Amino acid sequence: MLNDNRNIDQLFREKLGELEKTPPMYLWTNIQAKLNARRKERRIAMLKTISVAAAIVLAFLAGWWMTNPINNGNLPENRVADQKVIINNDSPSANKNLENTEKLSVASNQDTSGNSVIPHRANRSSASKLSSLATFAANTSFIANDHPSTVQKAGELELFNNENEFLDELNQNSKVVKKLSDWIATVRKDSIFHDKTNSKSVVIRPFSYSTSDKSVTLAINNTGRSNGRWSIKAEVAPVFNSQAKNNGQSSYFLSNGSQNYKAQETTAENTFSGGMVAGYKVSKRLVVKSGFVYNNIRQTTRNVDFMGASSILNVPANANLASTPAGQVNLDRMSNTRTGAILNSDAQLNYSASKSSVENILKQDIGFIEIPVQATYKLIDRKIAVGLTGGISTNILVGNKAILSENGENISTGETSNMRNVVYSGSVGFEVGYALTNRITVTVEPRLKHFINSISTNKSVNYKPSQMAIVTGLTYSFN
Amino acid sequence: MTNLEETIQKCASGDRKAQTTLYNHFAPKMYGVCLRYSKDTTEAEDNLQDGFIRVFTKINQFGFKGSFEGWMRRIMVNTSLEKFRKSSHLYPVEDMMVFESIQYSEETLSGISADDLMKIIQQLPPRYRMVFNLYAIEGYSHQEIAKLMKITEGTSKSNLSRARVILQKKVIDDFGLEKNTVTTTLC
Repeated sequence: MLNDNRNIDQLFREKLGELEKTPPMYLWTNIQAKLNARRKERRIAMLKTISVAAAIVLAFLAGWWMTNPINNGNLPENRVADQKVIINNDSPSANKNLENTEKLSVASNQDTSGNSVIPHRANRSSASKLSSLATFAANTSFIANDHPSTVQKAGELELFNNENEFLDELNQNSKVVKKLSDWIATVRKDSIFHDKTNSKSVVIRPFSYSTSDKSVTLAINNTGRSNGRWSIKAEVAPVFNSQAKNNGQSSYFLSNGSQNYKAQETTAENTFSGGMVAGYKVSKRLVVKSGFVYNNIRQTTRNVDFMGASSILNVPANANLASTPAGQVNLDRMSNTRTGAILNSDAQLNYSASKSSVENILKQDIGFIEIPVQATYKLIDRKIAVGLTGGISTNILVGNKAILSENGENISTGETSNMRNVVYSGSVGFEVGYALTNRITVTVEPRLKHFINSISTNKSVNYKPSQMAIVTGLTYSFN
Repeated sequence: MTNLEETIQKCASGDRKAQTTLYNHFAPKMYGVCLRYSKDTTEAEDNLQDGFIRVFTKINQFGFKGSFEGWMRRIMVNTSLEKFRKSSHLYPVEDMMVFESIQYSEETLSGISADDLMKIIQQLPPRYRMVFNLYAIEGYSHQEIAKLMKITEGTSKSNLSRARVILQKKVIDDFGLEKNTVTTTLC
């Protein structure tokens, strides 16, 4: 005999403590489904966070830019080029660097604060010179240098003793030659040279120039790109919407027996979208963009099958319901004289006859304000630029309208039910741009957009439209 | 399962295959735990399901200190307790019976099946079931139970003794064990 308390505890502990039982199979399926759902939720939450974070960063950058413009206001008359080409002229003075020779040099002028950076001749190999020039040609953005004194302040890196040497050097390397000689040709073509008392003045159009007694600076405005980081773009696009799957909910009660019966059919209409997008150049090739774009989804349903008021289905007496791929449409009660296409629960059997005499069309318009967060990577960044764009967008529902017309006359209005207020979408595009001027670029971008979640909150309506847009934009770059 | 640690790490990175392996290995044991804390199989399945979801979402917090099975078991117990706490207002504390003395032999007890005992334990009022499981099977102290269930130690003790009494009566009633000196009091 054992102590009864211990005995009962022990009894249960021994028999049940390590008991193993195989749970039913469906349990694991349920667990997996729930884990997947959680993962999806987390992903959506992450997208939300990223969108918000990106918006905050953009707002911050915008604020920063407003208060600290990149174009330094301390140098109103001295717009100093980051890099420039300088042709040094003949000079009577005994300048140890520049005298009596015409030199072509590359100046790197990042540091405008230094007042006495003395030009020096680089002892470089040809390859290194070419490499410097190539880097220069690739990275340079030319801005007028109107003030001769800045040349003195700038650090000048002399690579060649004269222009011929420079051209000879170029000829040895075909790739760089092409790029640089094209560039030089452009400069020469657009230039007018004239002599002016022992110095060579160079007028380069549409570029800028500056002269001093001893040197000529060819400071060329950026031919294609603006130097600024910010840009704003107005865009407009025809949008081709994917065809929704017809949900097949049409008249189950009017089947093949009815000769006059035409099945309900929904087609997606093409629409237009338009908006403003601000861009920020993160690096030379990468631009992030965000803004506001109006976009809508329109679909037309013909031969609409209606369900009338019903207490069983909890449909109010003043409503009529139609089922479409985007969800159920609630329409206000229609005029009594025009009930040809309308069914109520008692009139269903007479439906086919009445329906054949009228043609009804239901148009649904669902409007969104899209807030995109996009990144464009420029594959080519010249006068003609090519880039790939990808991004995610938050779409906020701003319009929901349904209009029913019968024989061409509007007879009722309403809206699509259970529309989601915020829907997310992803997009990819291929952008081709042409720089009309230094600051204005026109772009054309075929863009594919797909809604990530269903636009309806109704679980039985899974409608994630895809859109193809040909976005035409006009971009204005600041600075 | 060849390497538990590796499987756990894979689970932490969301590896489906590893999750399946882990589930298949531990589910029967954990189902056993959940059954003891539930009133029926449906509730046990719910708890097992929620428990495993919690295991997989928190598996990266397992620090490889101590037994993984113990960690998992605690999650199952906590899940069951939480479920109880949420629904505890639905269960009024029932009238109880006090048995002063019961005596039965070990030989007789060995003939009782685990399934029978499971049925008995599942019939206990929920709070008694929780306390009895925690004390008698999991080996928690009254102090720990009081903390876990947010009750006083005294309540824990009295719940335990009441649970024991009911279980004893059930065992006697169901399996016809000899009762020598039993007095019943209704409170």
